[in-house]
Amino acid sequence: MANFETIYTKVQVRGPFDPGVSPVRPTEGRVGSKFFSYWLGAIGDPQVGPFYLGWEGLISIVLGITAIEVIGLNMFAQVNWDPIQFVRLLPFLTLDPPAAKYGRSPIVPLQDGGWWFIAGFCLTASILLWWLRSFRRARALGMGMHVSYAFASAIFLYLSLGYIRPMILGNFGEAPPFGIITHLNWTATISVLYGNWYYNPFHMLSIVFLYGSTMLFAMHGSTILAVARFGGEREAEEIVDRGTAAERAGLFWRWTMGFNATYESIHRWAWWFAILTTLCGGIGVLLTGTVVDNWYLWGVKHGIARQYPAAYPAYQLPPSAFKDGVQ
Amino acid sequence: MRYLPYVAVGGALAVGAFLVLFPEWDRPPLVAENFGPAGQELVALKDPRRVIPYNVIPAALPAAPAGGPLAKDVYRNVQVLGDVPAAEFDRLMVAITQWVAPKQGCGFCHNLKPGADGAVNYADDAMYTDKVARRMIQMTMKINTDWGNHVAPSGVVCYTCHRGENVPPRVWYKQPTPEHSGILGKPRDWQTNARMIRDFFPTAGNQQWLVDDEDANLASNAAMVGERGSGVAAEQTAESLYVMMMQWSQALDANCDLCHASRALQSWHESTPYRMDGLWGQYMTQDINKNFLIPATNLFPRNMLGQVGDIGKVDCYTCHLQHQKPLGGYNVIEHYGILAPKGVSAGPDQGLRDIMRPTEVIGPAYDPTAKVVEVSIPAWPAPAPVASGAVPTVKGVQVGPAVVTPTGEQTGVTPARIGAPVSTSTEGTPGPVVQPPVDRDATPDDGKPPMKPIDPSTGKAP
Repeated sequence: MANFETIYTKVQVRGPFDPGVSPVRPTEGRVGSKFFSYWLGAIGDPQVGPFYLGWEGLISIVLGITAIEVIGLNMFAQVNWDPIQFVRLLPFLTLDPPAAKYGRSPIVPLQDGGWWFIAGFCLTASILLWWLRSFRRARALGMGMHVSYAFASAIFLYLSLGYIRPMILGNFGEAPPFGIITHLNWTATISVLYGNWYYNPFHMLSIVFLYGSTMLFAMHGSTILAVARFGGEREAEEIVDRGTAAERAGLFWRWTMGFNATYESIHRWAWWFAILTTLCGGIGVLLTGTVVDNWYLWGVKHGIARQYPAAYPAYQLPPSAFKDGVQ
Repeated sequence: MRYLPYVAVGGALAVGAFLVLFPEWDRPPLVAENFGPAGQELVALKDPRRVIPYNVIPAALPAAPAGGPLAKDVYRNVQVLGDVPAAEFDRLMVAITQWVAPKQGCGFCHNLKPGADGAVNYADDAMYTDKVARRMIQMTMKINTDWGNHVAPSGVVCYTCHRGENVPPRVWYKQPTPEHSGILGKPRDWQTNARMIRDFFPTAGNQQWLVDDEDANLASNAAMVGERGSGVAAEQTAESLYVMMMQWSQALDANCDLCHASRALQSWHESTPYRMDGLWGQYMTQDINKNFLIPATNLFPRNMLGQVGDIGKVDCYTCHLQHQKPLGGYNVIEHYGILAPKGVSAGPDQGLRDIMRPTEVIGPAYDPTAKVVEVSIPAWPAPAPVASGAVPTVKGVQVGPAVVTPTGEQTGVTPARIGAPVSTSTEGTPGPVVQPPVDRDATPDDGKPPMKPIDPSTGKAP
């Protein structure tokens, strides 16, 4: 049956239920109701389900909900269980990691960061199990591991921030808190504390790949939609048998920028840009405070930033105003 | 199910409208002035439409006539200002009433109940406010004398902080540890007192850097780890400093660029001279908090203290109130020189101040021919011409009438009715309600009998 739709499709098929291909490996049964959704049909396949949860998905969801509950109940307790205050102050509420004095030990008083460890453990386990699920489902279908690897790259950044870097530096006070404003404060602080992260080359690369991802996504999506009238949305077929859609799309980009990706390589471009966004970010995180203390001065040292001459006359400073004999 | 997307879109629009309409946004364009050297992009941003609260400059009282007897020869129990002419002393008393207790008048600090001899005993220290006021006068004189590097040339008077209120509109207290802190997470200090989005920056770092003098040099001056000195401070310490810096920024309505080159916040070499000014301000604030306010804690009744029993302390916001210079740089001390017995001088830092370019528009200098403000003054020895009470026009600052126009009898101020509860709260600014400030246990600290009232026109007891 036809199970490929585009946003141009005005007609929604309500045929017999499509069970999909048979897995190449034996797998557990699928669960959940099967139904058709009009609105999902407007943006994708109208058929919902059947759903596969599996043991790792089930545990992942339970642990994820546990983590959110621990965070949320801690925040709720902070406003003395007042629901109005909870909503009003939600952006400011936070579950903080333990203070630096506790070092690497996860055994800390609950109200001094113990809950942060519990929430962090549940959340991390939940994420890793969900990753395992994506890995095992891809294997069951005989697919490549691309989705799992991309997800793993994001998990690497997450672990770098919350676990690996604090472990290297020796305390979990370095880890970000769970909270809306507070994790933003953490981000701003860690940037200015280490001499402005905009001079961190891995941060630069991460931004390049992040913004590059969005640009590639826009270029690819618009190109395919533009040649859909020539059958260009059948990308897999155009890869093996290049038709007029692929020719037109390629010529368009050769005209406009002198080079075109192929129907196959554009997906590698996008995949690598996405992977490298978080991979570079994680490397930049792990180098901060472990190898480099001041990214601006690092940039000056290596010629990527300029040190401006003093614009004002030197004035007398009290010794308490600076440290290490440096003004 | 079919209508769910419409509901979702409607909800998203409602949330979007809320975010646009309710927080206080600054409507562009902001006025941006590039005040640093070329290439550094040091830009001061101002929203010319923002209404700054507490921007009324008090009209200066007419000058007191020169000469006359000294305050210590006329009054008793004058511990701080004994060596100034009594006329100056009276003028200051009237001014303080306007600055601090315009509603309560003399009775805010002095027990106006006539004694056994039928006379009011102004030497009586029984009310705690009287003792606090004496400390605060000492503090004001100390600031003008020793912290000229931060307050010159305009100096400070009581009004710089008080703005016509008993308690300065902006002070900070320690926040209590919440009761439910058994096994549950504790909120940070500021979560219990944040009221709106502009208010969310806490006072957590104030104790560390505005009372205690902890090292605020947290970043490293070396590129690589282990290259030099003590490296980088803990992230959680830095976060407290970061939020305190945000409060300073808010207090001065200034962005980081006023003092720092944003690429290298720690570098004095790339900072502007304003950062030095800020450093003196920090040390001055420590001096005020540590040596004047906190030691005065036991003078206050419990209901005037914070939740954990600490006195209200000052930060940058207390004086600045969103002006880069408090009151737009209006020179208050030239009208009340007795609060700066040695003048207000920046000393060796004058050269530093000379190269600071003003980044906010302040109006023309003091103009004696400007609009005359009617102020009634104490009638002793003789009223001076009112014309000397003119105030300058300062752009961006509303020049209003005197904070209060005292009417009534020869003292020139209206005493509060004895026994009537008085409130410091004005509309829109909820504050603590002040009960009549009488300290029952206290006695006059000199042990002398109450003095008789003095006829102001003769300087003698009738």
